[in-house]
Parts: sequence; C-alpha cells; structure tokens
Amino acid sequence: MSITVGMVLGFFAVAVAFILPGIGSSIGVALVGSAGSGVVTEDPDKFGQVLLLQVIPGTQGIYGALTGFLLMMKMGVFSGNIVRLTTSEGWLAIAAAMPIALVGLLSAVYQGKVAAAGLGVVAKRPEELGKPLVFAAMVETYAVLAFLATLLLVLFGIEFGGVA
Amino acid sequence: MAIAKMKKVSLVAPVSCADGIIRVLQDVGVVEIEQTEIEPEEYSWCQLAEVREDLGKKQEELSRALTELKFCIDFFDRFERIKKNMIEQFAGGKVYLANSTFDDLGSRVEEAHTVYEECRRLDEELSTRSNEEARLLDNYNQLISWEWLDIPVSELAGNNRISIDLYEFPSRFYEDIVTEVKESCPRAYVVPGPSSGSRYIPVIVICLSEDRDEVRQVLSARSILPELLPEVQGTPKDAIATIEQRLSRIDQEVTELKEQAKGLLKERIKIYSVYDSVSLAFDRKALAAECPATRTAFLIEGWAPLDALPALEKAVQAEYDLVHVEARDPFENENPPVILDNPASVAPFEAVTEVYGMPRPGTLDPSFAAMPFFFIFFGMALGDAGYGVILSIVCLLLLRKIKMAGTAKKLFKMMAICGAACVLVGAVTGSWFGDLFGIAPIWFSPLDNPLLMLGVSFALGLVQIYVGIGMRLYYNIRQGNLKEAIFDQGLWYPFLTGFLLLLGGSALGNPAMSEVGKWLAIVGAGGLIVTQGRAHKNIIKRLGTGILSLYDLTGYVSDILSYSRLLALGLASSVIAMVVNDMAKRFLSIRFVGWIPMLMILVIGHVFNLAINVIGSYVHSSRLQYVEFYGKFFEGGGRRFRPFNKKTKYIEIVEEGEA
Repeated sequence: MSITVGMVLGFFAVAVAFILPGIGSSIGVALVGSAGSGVVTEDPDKFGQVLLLQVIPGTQGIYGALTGFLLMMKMGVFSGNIVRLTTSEGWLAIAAAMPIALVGLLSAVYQGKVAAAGLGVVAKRPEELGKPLVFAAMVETYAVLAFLATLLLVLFGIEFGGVA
Repeated sequence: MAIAKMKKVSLVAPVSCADGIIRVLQDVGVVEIEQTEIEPEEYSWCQLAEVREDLGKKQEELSRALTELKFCIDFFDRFERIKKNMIEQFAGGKVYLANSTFDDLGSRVEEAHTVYEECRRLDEELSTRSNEEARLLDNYNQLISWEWLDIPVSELAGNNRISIDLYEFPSRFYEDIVTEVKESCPRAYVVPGPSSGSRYIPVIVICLSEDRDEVRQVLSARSILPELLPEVQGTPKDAIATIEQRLSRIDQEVTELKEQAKGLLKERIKIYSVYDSVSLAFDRKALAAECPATRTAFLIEGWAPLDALPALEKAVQAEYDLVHVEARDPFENENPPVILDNPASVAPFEAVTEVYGMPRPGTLDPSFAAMPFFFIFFGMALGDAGYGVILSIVCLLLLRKIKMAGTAKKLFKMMAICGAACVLVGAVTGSWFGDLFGIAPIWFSPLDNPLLMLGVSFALGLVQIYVGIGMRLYYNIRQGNLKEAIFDQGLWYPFLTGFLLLLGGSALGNPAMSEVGKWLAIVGAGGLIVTQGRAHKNIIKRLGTGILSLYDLTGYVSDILSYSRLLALGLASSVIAMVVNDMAKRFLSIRFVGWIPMLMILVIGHVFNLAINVIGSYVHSSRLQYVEFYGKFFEGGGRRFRPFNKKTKYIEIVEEGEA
C-alpha cells in the first residue's frame, strides 16, 4: 500500500491535536501543582482543594486528545483499514484541528496561571474556593468554544473518501 | 425565595446574670453580636474597672489552658496523625459527640491537666533521649576511623614536651604530604594507620612541642586540620562499644516512651472536648468583656432573624426573670447580615449563591430563580444518564456517611439533585454510559443533530436572560422605581425579541416573522433611544446616549452565544464515553479472557470521564449563573450571618442519639 501526501497530513493533524493542547495542559497543571505543594506543606488537609484547582487546566489536553481520537476514527486507524486521504482531505483535517490545537495550548497555560494565583485563596480563605474556580473557568470558555468549533468540523464537516 | 428578615436585638439584664445569659445566647446561637459603639464620655455606660480586670485575668487563665491543650493535641498528632479523606477535607471531618457527652468530657479540666503533664514529661524525656542520641552518634562518627588505635584516648593528649596530633591524609597525596612534613620538620614522626582502601588514611603525627606549629602550618596549607577526638574513657574501640551499648539502650527506652505516649492516645477525645469547651468559655468571656455595663446592668446587642426571636426570648426568660429583650427593624444606615431563606427543596441551590457572595440586604436572593437553570444546565453539560445515577448515589452515600454542615452540605445535596437532571437529559438524548447499551434516545442524540442541541442551548440561555431582566424589573417595581422598570428593562423585551425574530425570520425564510420582528425591534429601539439618555438635559446628548445604549445589544447576543458551551461540554463527555466503550469492546476479540481488560478499561475510563466532567459541569453551570444571569440583576455586598454560637474546632456537637 502506498502512502499518500493526504495521509501524512492527516497524521500530522492528529499529532497536532494531541501535542499542542497536551503541552499547554502539562504546563498549566504543573504551574498549579508546584505552587500548590507550598500550600499543602502548610496544611496537608488542603490537598483536595488544591487538586481541584490543579485539574482545571488539564481539560484542554483532554479536548485535544478527544479531537485526535475522532480524527483517527474518521481515518479508519482503529478498523485497521486506513483511508488513503487525498491531499485536500489531509489539509482539511489539519484545518479542523487548528482551533483546539492553538487555543488549547495557550488557554491552558494562562488558565494554569489564573488557577495558581487562586491558590492564595485556598491558603487563606478556603471557604471561598468557588471564586478562584470561576476565575479559572473564565479562561476555559475560549477553549470550550474552540473545541466546539473543532468538534463540529470533525464530526460533521469531514467525510474522508480517500483516493480511489 | 428571599433574604430572611433581620431584627436588631437588645438584651438588658442584671450584671449578676451576665455569665448565664451569654451561655444561653451561645447555646441558642441565633444572634450575631454587633454592639453599638458607646462614647467613653457617656459615663453611665462605662465598663467597670474591677469587672474588666477580673475578666482579663480569667481570659488569661483560659488561654493558658488552651495552649496546654493544644500542646497535647500536637503531641498526639506526632504519634498518630488523623487522616482526613478527600471529602472530609472539604467538609471538615470533626468528631461527633452528643451534647451531654461533650458537656461531661469537656468539664474534666483537671484530668486534662494531668494528661498535659504526662505529655509534657514524655516530650521532655523523648527530647533528652534524642539529644543524647545525636551527641553519641557524633562521637561515634569521630571515633570510627580510629578504631584500630589501641591507646586510650586520654593518652593522646601529649604533654609539654611532646605533641601528638591526629590527621586524615588524602590517600592520593599521602607520599607527598609525608615528604613535605619531613622536609619542614625532620624530627617529626608520621605513623599511618590502616588505609583500608578509603580516600583518607588516618595518621598520627608525633613531634616535639616546639615543632608543632611548624607541622600544623605545613598541613593547613593543604587544608588538613587536626582531628579532635571526643573525651571518652579507654581506647577508641572500647568507647565505640560503650556508645553502641548506650545507643541500643536509648532505642529501647524511646520505644517504651512511645508506647506510653500511644497509651495516652485514648485520652484524645477528652482533650478535644476540653479544648473546645474551654475555647467556648473563652468566647463567652471575650463577649462579656466587650459588653457595656453599669454597676448593676449590662447590655448585649446584635442581629437575629425574625423567625428565631420567639425561641430566643423563651430560652432566655426560662432561666432569668429580670431580662429585657427588645427587637427593632434595622435603620436605614445599618447593614444587617444576610441569611438566605428558601424552602427545603430550593435550599441546596443556595450553595450557588453562597459561593458567589451574599446579596445586599433588601435586594433579591437569586437562588430560587437560578435553581431550574442550574439543574438543567448541569444535566446538559454532563449529559449522561448513567453518570447521573452514579453521581446521585455517590453524593447521597457521602451525605449519609459523612456529617457535613453549611455550604458543603448544600453543595452535595445539590449535586445529588443534579444527578437526576443528568438522567433526564441522558434519557432524552439516549446516552447511558455513552453508547454502551445502545439505548435509543427519547428525542434526539446531539451527535446526530448537534444544531438542534445548539438551538436548545441558545433557547434556554435566552429564557434565562429574559428571566434575569425580569428579576431586575421586578426589583425595580418593588422598590417603586416604575420608570426604571419600564424604560431600562421593559423596553429591552420588544427590542431583543424583535431583533431575534428578524434574524430567525431571515434565516428560516419566513417573511411574516421578519416583518413582526422588524416592527417590534423598531418600537423597542425607538423607546430606548428616547428614554436611555433621560439623565441629560441637552437634547442632543440625550439622543446620543439613547442611540449608544442600543450597543448593549452586543452584550446580550454574546451572552446567548456563551450558552453554546452546553453543547460542547455535553458532546465532550458523551464522545469520551464512546471512545472508552469503543476501546474496551475491542478487547472482546481476545478469546476467553477478553472481558477482563474490557471491564477494566470501562471502569477506569468512565470513572475518569465522570470525575473530570462533573468538575467541568459544575464550574461552567455556575459561570452561566454568575456572569450571564446574576449580572443582570444581582447586587452583592451582603455579609454572611455569623451568629455567636458554639464554634468548635475538633468536636461537632449534635443532638442526643445522632452521634
């Protein structure tokens, strides 16, 4: 079986969907985690609250992974019969993955910063945990919108026919 | 659906009843103390000097007792740390005791003091042991490289003619160093010990006293300093043996002491009770110290909810006759604390408002209006019936197993209720653990028709925004601001509706709808242009402001678009569920044992998906309330009601039979 340029591009789309939001989420989660250790040192009982703030920048990575899985499904990776994408189809896959890839990367980092700043609330006024969570959710909005765009594009905009 | 009505309560009673009445107030726990500031010049309301001094002494005594008890508690924690599980970290995780048990245990101050002295003794003995152990280990480390030396340590001191120094030479440069020493001081003897292959060779340098400085200088140029042995009896070998013996005895003693300390752990609950009961006494004294009083009478003032007043009066007057209780409405310039007061079915949703902040007294409590929206939005964002069932069950189990109070309890109740919303939405959209069982949707699946789901999200959002504007309108009417109600809120309804009909009509190709929309929008816009600048006298400024106000339309439109997150979150959780199912089912092709990895992947995958998406659903449903809904009408700035009550740290006091 020969490999088409479209297949390479399609794999690239999958890779981008996994890689960029994944990097962003790792950075975001790490930011909160490393600052959170300080809070937990003072009061180990705050572990749960810190963890709650820490997982928030992790969702972008999941959105990206989800996009990647969907693209793989569309490309028939799981059925063992990979569609031989045309070059345009390959580019289409990349374009569809772009929103969550780029917005996911950046929003996860910034969300991590917001959540890390929210650790101060956990340390000093743990009863007000809801507020930093909402601040972090504000950043997430744009990741959700980007994911929505990608999701709709992948689910309904793409039907791979492949090279005849 | 409201904020509870607050009264300012004044209690006047004879000074002799002060302790008792303050105790009753603490038991009942419905008054937030707020003393009116009294000018010192008004001499009739001064704090009596002798009373104050007495109180001060008593407070000092109590705080000393608290320090002792805290010492015991920290001491216990060193031997057995009480682990709190994840839920208890949020909910508190105190020890539950019935009222009478608490009173009984809490009164054993003398016994607690005995426990304290025992703890203190054990702590001192343990720290003596650990100091000695550190010192012995130090000696041991210094002696260990001289174990081969069969001369008593005391004889290594030299005398006024001969100097004996011990060194450790680096083995690599050993020859060089010895040569250097010999060159500078030929009469010195260098006696090496066994090198034993390590990086240093122990060396004894013997020389005449007058040469000592010379030798030391040569060696210190190479950063080699004489080793000083600790003052011990006998040869290093003997000393090491003694140390080892002593260390093992210390080890044994420490084990025994720790056993004794562990034996004390059974007193823990008692110490907790005494700590809390002493700190309650401390709170009472602190309150007494700030009460204005004359030689005969004293005054306590504070806020209490109207509903609680009869109970308060009854409780106080049951024990004391000479008490005057008076309640009045708050003055204009006063800022009473806020209690949200809703029927039991709505109360859990107060958690949404409490997390955001309390409304200003006299404004609206949004909990009731937010309830249906939060409920359905949460359901849509999680969007799976199977997950809903699990969420409800888990929350109900936790509520039963762990005693919670305040916002945490409301939050878990709310989550249990919202689980039902997920079941509802999941059944309608045919999602039971994703597509695991292939149950058909009652209405439609968002995966087949995402645009319909998007439409539903927008429609619900629009309804919430209309309700939000309506809340403000209602509030303005209630306050008698009819003009604001009609112009600032009322006119937006035709304008917004008209605008949306216009858009909808052109999208659907329905000219009649567009026509209606057009005229509605024109009427609304015209009204807004004319009225929104009414603060300005200048007619041009007035119209300008009016026209600019139409720009707020973008705000409303972006609010509505924000509800698209419901579709995205719902799709995310159901697609992840599908991916999990898909991956798991692939293992079935392995003969005989395929179901094992399949089950594992199903369980781990769905638990992970549920956990992540519950957090996301909660946070995003909350955000939709806070930004898109509360933003329309909510006035914050209220402070939470914090009554003077039994504020405990370790013990949660409950009714008899509940512990």
